[in-house]
Amino acid sequence: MSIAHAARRIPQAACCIGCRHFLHEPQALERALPGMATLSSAYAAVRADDGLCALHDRYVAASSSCERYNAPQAA
Amino acid sequence: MAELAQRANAPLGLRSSFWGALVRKEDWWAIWIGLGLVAIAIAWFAAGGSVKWIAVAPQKWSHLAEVSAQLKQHGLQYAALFVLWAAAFGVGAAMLGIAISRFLPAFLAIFTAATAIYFLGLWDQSAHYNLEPPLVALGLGLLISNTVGAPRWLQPALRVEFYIKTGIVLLGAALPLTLIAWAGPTAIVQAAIVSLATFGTIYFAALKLGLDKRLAATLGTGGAVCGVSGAIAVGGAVGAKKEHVSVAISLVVLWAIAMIFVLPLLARGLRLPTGVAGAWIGTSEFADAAGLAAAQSYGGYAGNVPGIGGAPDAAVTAFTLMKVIGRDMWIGVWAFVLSLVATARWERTGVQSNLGAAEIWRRFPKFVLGFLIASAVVTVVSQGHDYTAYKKDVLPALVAPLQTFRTWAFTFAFLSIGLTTRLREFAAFGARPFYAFAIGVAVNVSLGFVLSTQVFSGFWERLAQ
Repeated sequence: MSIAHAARRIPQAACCIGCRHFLHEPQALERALPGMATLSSAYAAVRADDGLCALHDRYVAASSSCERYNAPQAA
Repeated sequence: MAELAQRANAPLGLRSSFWGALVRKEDWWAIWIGLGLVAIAIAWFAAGGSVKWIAVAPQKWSHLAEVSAQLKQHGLQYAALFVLWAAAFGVGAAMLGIAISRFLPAFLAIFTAATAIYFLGLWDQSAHYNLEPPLVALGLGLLISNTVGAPRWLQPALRVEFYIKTGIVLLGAALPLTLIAWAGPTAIVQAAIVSLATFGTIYFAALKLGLDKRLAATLGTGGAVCGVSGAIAVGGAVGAKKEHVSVAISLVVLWAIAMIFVLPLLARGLRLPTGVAGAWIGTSEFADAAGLAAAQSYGGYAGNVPGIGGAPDAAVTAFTLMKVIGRDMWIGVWAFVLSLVATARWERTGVQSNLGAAEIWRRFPKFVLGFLIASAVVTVVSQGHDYTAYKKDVLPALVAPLQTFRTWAFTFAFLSIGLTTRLREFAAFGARPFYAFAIGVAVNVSLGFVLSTQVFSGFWERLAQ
């Protein structure tokens, strides 16, 4: 894939922010990543809404997506 | 990860909208609090008064009896100042999701400790014993958190970035916009040279050592742009492994804390003028809070250590111009570009990145806007006053109280750095990431030194005067 093509792509509807495997609450993130609150913050604008994916064990942007998206069950 | 299991039945998450971010991101709360204080100060000044009554600060002292006398005389003012800060930061913390009932008692402890440290810094022997308030705050915090441990009830008020960003917004009120416009381009050029060289060094050293490209980029941005904030911004943008983000955070924090002590010590040994030292620290420190601790400490040497020239505030001014204008502002660009490269050129991870150009704004450190607005507003208010009138009226009644507020905010931050640094909790990072980062540090510090003290030295010396 070219860089120009990558830049044109738009976020998909079923992205990480809505997935049950995604952890992005600030307080939980700061507990999961020791040192984050020492010289930065999970509440900072630079973090946007990034979070941890338990499935892939990666720190990913909220707009990311994968084939194993799993929406939370309806309450 | 146990918390992830609890999310199974949680409602769908939503990305922060523009309006939502205004109340859910601490950058914006730093702006509301900082600019709110600036607005109140200006309103009072316009009405012929000043907020200096509540902007109370310790004065120079020689004997403990004088401390006691100051506290008796100004006790009500210190209480009012506490109420002001507690209300401002308490509301902000509550909007961020931190229970105000847990925040307030913890903040009372932070305020009390900060007051003691502020007084210690005004002891007439403090420079002789190297008791610079930022270093004392940091050292005390580190000692407590790594021996007996900071109590859990204190955690809600240990918000380093919240305090430091608020302080930076207030710092803008003391810098004329014309100065920022004059010095900004030089800061951007110097910072760009060092950032690109440092990133390239760490990235290629890491690859040479066999490390993953995403780890290399996360480490590189942490060292080159804005420390932990840079590491998490790029770590998320490129989809780094969780353990790699933890490694980058650990390395950045450890090096940044070491540099708080090392850079002022080296600059002091070389008797660098305050502006030059501030520019060097701004180029070579990794995080805003750590760099401001180093720069404010160095500013304290002016007039107290023979051979160190320049205005005390010039170190913090040069640091801020270099770090905030030269480096921090560009983090969104770094994250966006690296996400494109990762998507297009690096091996697939199973997670598809979908970042667009809007990410440059989304990740922009918004507190920088508050810093610039504060500068612009106070510059406009100061128009119409000649230099004599500025020194006689505007400085003591408007700017000086805002500088005092800023010093308080920074002291809360410096204390919080040490108290949140629990070394035993940091991720183990192994030799190869350490070597890659250390090589980058060597390049960063050396190049920053040459640019600050040789190439652009005349510029930063003028700033110091």
